[in-house]
Amino acid sequence: MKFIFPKNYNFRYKLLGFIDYTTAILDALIGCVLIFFLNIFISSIMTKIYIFIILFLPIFLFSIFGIGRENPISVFYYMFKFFKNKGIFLYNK
Amino acid sequence: MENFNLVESIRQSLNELFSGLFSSIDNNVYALLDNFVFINSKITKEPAIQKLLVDNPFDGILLICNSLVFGFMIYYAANFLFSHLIYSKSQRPTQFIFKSIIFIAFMNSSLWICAEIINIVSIVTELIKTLGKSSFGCDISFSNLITNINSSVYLADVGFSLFSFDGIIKSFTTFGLINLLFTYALRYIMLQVFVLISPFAFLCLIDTSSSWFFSSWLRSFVALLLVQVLVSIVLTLGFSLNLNSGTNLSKLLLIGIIYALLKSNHFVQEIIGGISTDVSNGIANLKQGGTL
Repeated sequence: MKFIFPKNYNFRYKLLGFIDYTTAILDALIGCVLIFFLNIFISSIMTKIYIFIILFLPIFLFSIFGIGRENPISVFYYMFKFFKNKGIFLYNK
Repeated sequence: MENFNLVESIRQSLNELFSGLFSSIDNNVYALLDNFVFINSKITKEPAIQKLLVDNPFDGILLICNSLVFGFMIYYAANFLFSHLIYSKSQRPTQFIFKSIIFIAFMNSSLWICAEIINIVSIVTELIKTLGKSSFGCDISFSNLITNINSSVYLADVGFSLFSFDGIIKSFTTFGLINLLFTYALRYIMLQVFVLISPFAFLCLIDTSSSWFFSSWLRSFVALLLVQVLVSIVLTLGFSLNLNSGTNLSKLLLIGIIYALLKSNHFVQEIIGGISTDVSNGIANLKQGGTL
């Protein structure tokens, strides 16, 4: 896509208009892993539902609303990059 | 002569058939319509709602809601932590705890709150009906309206004739009221659905980012309830018409009343908002599907 003015925002397609595809895939993956472990350790269906909601809801809410309205994956990626290399590089022409 | 007899016998059989059909609808449908339209707090005592929204917080929908409360708390804690790391704005912990206590109490007593909202609207409806009764001397109900219509359409000396102006009015009224029955049956079910999801709506008030859900739920719920207030006003107006006079004007006004009853749901939706429970579009689509 050609942009006339400098791009200062993220341009990402979203699933159902509110969650971008990478985050949705990651959420589905986390959900599957949670269900897998809950099936191993817990037998009662009500307890499974209860624990699944408690653990999965915060992740899902972060995926929808983001961290400071930013995509949580990007936030974690940049945080990880910063903690790995704390040097700040300024762009100089 | 034989042709005339054949046409006359076909006409008579059609009249008898439709007369039977209409009287069967009259006897069975309209009492139901009164129950569907004028809803009171008994709707919250339906077995489905009682089973799913029981007072025990470790069973039914309240179990899911109470687990969502813990989920929201974890979300808030993590969000509060991140707000310090990335310098973003977040609501204060005291504010969050205060809101949580209030809205968790609301969530756990959502059935009672819904029952009281329904009760208030029911009282307003009864007030309008009582006002109508004292003014026009008869109960404001669909059963009485149909009795009035029949007394003007079924003339004692002539009987029912489908191929007449009265016959057209009677058939329009009957099919219109059946359409109304479908619409209000859908409204009845949707009200039950809104009562069932009420704990989620109250829970969403805990966090500012999800509070929009509560406002849309409240708007739709109140709009669905207020339909019965408008219906009672239209019905009262219907009883003010002198249908026994048998004039064409009063019969045409009767069609206006049926249209107003059919559209009252749409009018409330336009004024307040919320969801539509109009099934006439669905029936029109079915008709189109049938002709294809």
